[in-house]
Amino acid sequence: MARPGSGTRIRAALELLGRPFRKNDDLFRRFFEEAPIALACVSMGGRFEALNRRFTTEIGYSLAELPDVEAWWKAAYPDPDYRRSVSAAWQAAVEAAEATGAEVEAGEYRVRRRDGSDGYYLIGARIVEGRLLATLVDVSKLRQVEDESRRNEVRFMTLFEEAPLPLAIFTREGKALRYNRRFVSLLGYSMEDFGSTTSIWDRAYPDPAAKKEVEDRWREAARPGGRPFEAFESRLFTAGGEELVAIISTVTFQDGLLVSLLDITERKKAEMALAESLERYRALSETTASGIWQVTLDAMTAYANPALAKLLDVDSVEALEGRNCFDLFAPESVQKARAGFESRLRGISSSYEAVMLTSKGEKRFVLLSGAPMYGVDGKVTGTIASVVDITERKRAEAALNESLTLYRTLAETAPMGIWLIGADDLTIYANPAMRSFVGYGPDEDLAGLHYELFFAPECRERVRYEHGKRARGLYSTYEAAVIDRQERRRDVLVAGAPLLGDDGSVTGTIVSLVDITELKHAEALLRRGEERLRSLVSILQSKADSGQAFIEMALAEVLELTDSAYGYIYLYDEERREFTLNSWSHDVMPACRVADPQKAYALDSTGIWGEAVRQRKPIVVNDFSAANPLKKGYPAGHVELRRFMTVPVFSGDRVVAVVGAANKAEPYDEADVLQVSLLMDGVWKGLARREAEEALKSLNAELERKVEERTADLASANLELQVANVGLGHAMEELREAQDKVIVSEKLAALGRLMAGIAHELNTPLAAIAASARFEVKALGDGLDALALSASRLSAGELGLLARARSQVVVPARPVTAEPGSERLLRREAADSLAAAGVPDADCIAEDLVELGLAELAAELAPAFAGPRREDFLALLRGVIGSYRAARVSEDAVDKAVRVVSALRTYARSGEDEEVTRIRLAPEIRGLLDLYYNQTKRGIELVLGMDEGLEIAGRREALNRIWFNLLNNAIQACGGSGRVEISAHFEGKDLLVSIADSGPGIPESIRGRIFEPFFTTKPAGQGTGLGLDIARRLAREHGGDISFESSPGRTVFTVRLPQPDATNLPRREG
Amino acid sequence: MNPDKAILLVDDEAIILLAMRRELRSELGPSFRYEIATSAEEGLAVIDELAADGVRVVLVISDWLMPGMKGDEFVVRVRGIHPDVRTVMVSGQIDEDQLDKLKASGALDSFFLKPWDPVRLVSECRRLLAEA
Repeated sequence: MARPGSGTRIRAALELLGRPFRKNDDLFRRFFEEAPIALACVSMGGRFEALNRRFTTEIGYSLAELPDVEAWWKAAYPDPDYRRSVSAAWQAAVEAAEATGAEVEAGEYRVRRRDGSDGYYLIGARIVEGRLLATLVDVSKLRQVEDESRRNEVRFMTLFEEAPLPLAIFTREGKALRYNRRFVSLLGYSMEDFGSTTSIWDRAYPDPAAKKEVEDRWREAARPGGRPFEAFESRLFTAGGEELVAIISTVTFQDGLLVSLLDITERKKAEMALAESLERYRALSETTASGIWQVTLDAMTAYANPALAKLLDVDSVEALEGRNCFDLFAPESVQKARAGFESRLRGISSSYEAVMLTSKGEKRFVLLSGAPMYGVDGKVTGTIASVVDITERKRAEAALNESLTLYRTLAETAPMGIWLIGADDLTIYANPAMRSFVGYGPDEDLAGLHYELFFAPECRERVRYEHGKRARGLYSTYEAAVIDRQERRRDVLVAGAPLLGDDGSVTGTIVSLVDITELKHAEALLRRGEERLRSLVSILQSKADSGQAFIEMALAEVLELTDSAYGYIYLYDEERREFTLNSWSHDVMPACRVADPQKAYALDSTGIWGEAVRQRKPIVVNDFSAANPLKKGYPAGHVELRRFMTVPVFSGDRVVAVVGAANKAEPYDEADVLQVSLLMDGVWKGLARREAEEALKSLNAELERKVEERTADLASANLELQVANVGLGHAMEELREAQDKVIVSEKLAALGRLMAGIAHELNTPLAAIAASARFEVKALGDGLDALALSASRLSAGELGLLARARSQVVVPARPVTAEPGSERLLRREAADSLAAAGVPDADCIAEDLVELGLAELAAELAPAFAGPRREDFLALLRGVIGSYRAARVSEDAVDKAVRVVSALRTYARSGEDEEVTRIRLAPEIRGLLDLYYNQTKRGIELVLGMDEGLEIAGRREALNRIWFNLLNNAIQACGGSGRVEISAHFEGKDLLVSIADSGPGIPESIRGRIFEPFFTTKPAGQGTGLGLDIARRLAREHGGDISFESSPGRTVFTVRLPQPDATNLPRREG
Repeated sequence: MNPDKAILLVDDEAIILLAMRRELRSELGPSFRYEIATSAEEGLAVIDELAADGVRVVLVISDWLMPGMKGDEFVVRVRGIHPDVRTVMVSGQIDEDQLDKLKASGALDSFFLKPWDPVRLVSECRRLLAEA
C-alpha cells in the first residue's frame, strides 16, 4: 500500500518525534501540539489520550468525539466492510509492531473527515512507552496525483486512440511507434507503410517541392534540441490518391514526436463556399435597401453598406468605416444603442427603435435589428445589424398621435358630453363635460358603469331602444333626460353613433350629449308667448259688442295665461287718483264675502295692490302670509290670497288700469309679469283701435254721403262742360279762320306800313313846300310894298350890309339847314355879339339871324341892328333873305319828293317783267362807274377786280339797280377820298359780287337797321333810305341775298347770286 | 326881350322845322322862344337845358315817325315830366287806333296831318297857349 518514497518520510518524522519525547514531556507536549502532521496518542487499550491541533484541523475530530479507537473506526471508516478490513489490518500491524518492536507499518487508508469529505492518509505509528503514537499524513493529493498520472496515461492512450484528430507518434528517426485509428483511416497508409517514412513522404507528397518542405521541417524538429515544427498547412495525398489539405503539427512527446493532422479539406471547401457566400452577401449588402452595419467589439464601424451611407447622408461607405458607432446616434438614442451593443456582446440579438443623425445633423428614425457575430472560436467578435429607415412611419405615427392627442383634447375640453360605451354596455370613457352632467367630479371616473344608470327612469325605455340601433350599425339623435347625482334633472339631446373595429364589426358606441335644458325652458317661454299672442289675437278679433266685454275677455285670458285662480281689472283715473272696479273673475265675487265690496277706491286707501300704481311697476308677492310692509291686510271675508301679482297698464305715460291675478299654484315669475304686461298693453291698444275704428266708420259714412252729393253736382257740371266744348269747337274754327285772315292782314299791314312810310316821306317835303310857298306868297305879295319902303329908308351902309348878307346866303351849293345843336351855339354867340354891340333884344334878333342863316354875320350886322332903322333892316332881311331861303327849301323838298317817287317806282316795279339773260358783268359795272366820273376826279379810287369774261345770269335792270345802290353807298361812305373796289368770283354754284369801301364803317348801333326801308344816315334830302332795301329785295328775287361786313376802314357788301347750270340763255349786251 | 317860355319843335326833317318855326314865329310873336330838335331824345335834352336856364317849355309840337323814339312815346314822356306842357303831334300819316289810344291817354292835346293848314295850326296853338 505504501508508495515508494513516502515511507521514508514518515520514518523520518517518527524518528524526529521519538527523540524529544523521551527527554522532555513539556517539550514533547508542545511539539506534539505544534507538529506539522496530525498526531494521535492512543493507549494500548485503545483509548485516545491526545490529539494534536493538526489532527483536529485536518481531520476535524476532537478528543471528545474520539474516546476510543472504536469511535475512530466508526467515524473515519463509515463503510462497514472497509472498516472491518482497515481495523483488521491495523490490529495486525500493531500486533506485529508490538512483537517486533518496530514501528507499526504505515498503511494508506481512506479516512472520512469530520466535515464529511474523504481523504487518503498514510497512517503509521510507533509504540512509545506503552502508548501508541500515531501519525497521519495526508497523502490525498499525492494519491490523486499518482492516480491522475496513471489515469492520464490511460486517458492519454485512450485519447490518442479515440482522438478525432489523426495522430501518430514517431521516433526522432521517423519510425512510427503508434498511430491512431483516424490517422490510418484518413491517410489510408498501413503500419507497413509506416515502416519507412520515406515511402510515405513519397506517396503523400508527389510534388517534390512540397515533399522537401515537409522533410526540412521534419529534420529540424527531429534534431536533438530542435524545435518541433509549428503547424503548417500542407497538401498531401492519401493512399487512395485523394488530395487532402491538412494542418500538420508536431509536439515533442517522450523521446519522439507526436504528429497531428488536421484535415481541413472540408474547411477549405467551406472557406471557399464561405468566400463565395461572403461575396454574395457582399453583393446583397451593397445593393439592399436596408442598411447593414458591422461594428467591432470596441464599437467601431467595421463595415457599412451603401444603403446605410445613404440613410446617413454620407458620400461613401468609407466615410463611416472606423467611426465610433455611438457617434452616429442622436443623443437621445445613445443609451439604447449602448444597451443594445452590450446585449450583442453577451450574445443576445434584439431589435429596437432609435434615432440616428445624418451627416447634416438631421434625425432619422430607424429600426435597428442587431445580432452578435461569432468568430470560429465561438466568441463574439462584433455585431451586425440591419438598419431600416422608419422615419416616414414615425412621422405618420406622430401625426396619428397628434391627431389622437387632438381628439383627446377635444374630447376633454368639449362643452358637450362625450361618452364611449363598450359592446358590453359599460362605460369606457366619459369626458369632463359628461362627468359634470351626471354630477360627478373631474377626478371621478365613470368607467364600468352601465349606460342606463344616468338616464331618468321615464326615458330609459326610449334610450334602450335607441341604443339598440347601434348594434345594427345605425346612428340616431333623440331627446332624453338625465338625472344627476344631486337628483337634478337635465334635458339632453343625445346623438349616438356606432364604433366600428377594423373588421367592420361594432365594437361599441360613441355618444355626444348636449344640455338642452335652457333650450327647453326657452321653448316653454316661447310657447307661453305664443299662447299670449293667441289670446291677444282672439281678444282683438272678438266680436265683443263693447269695450267692456273686451276687457272682461282680457281678464279671462290673463287668468288662463298665468294659471291664476282669481283676477280682477281695476280702471284707474290719474287725475282723481281713484280706482274703479271694472271686471272681476267670476270666482272672486261669490267667494269674496267682503262686507262692502266697494266699487271705487282712492289710491291712498289701497294696500299692496295699489302699490303697482304708486311705484308705477308690477308687484309680485309669492308668499302673501309673510309680513310685507306694503300690504295692508285684506278685509274679512275677502278670498284668502296665497300668491299675488299686480301689474299697471299704461297708455302713454298714464296709468289707466291695474290688472291683478292671484293664487297661481306655482310662484309668479318674470315671465308671468311680462306676459300680462304685454297682453294688457296689446288689449289697451286694441281697445283704442276699436274706438278709432268706430269713429272712422261713422266718418266714412258721412264721407260717402258727401261724395254722392258731389257726384250729382259733377254730373250736371259735366253736361255744361260738354255744351261749352261744342261752343269751343266752333270758336276754334273761327279762330283758325281769323288766323288765316291775320296772315293776310299781316301782309296787308306790312304793305300798309310801307304805304304809311311813303306817305310820310312825301308829306314831309310837301309840308315844307307848302309852308315855304305860303311865306313867299306873303312876303312877296302884300309885303312887297313895305319891303320897298324899308329899302328906301336904309342908308348906304345898311344897304351894303344887306348886300353882304345876301352874298352870304345866296350860295347855290350851300345847304339851307344846319345842325340844331350848332344853331343854339350860333344863336348864343350871335346874341352875345349883338348884346356887346349894344343891340337891344339881342336874343330876339339873334334868333332871327339864325333862322335866316346869318348868325355868323351877327357882329358885322350889329351896327344896323343897333341903329334907328333896325326895324326896316330886319324887315328887309326877313323879306329878301327869308324868301330866298323859303324858295330854296321848296326846291330841296321837291327834289326829295321826286326822289321818293322815283324810288317808289323802282320799288314797285316788279322785276318779273324783265327776262333773264346772260350779262357780262365787267362792262356793266364800268358803265356805272362812269356816272361817278366827278367823284373819281375828286380823289376816290375806283377798282374793278374781276374777269373780263365773267358772265352772270339775271335781270339786267334789276342787277344794275343793285350795283348802283351799293356803289352809291360805298362812294358816299368814302367822303372825299378813298377807295372803292368791285370784285366778283364764283363759290360753288353761287356768284359772289363784293363792293368794298374804305370808309369809316357802319357803327354797331345801326348795323341791324341799315336794310330798313327809309332808314338813312344821310343828311335830309340826300337819300330816300330805300337803297339797301331795294337792293336786297332785288337780290332775293334772284334767289340770293346781300350781306355785309364792316369795320373802320373797310366795309364790304357781298351780293350772293345763285347761277343756273343752263347756258342756253340769251346774252344781253348793253 | 328874354322870353321865359319856349315852344319846342321836334322833327327829323330839318326843312319842316325851319318852315314851321318861320310860320309860328311870324304868327305867335317874339314872346316865346322857338327851339328845334331833330329827335325826341334831343327834344328831351333841350327841355332840360331850358329848364336849367329857367325857361319853361309850354308847348311841344312833334312829328310822329322819327328814327329812335317815336313821337307818341315822346309826348307821353314829356307829359310825364311836365304835366302842364301842351302837346301837339304833326305827322305825315296816321294810325287811327294808335291815335285814339294816345288821345285817350290824355298825353296828346292835338293832332295835325302834314301838310298842315297853317291857320288851324296857329289857332290851335293859340288856344293851347292861352290855357297854359
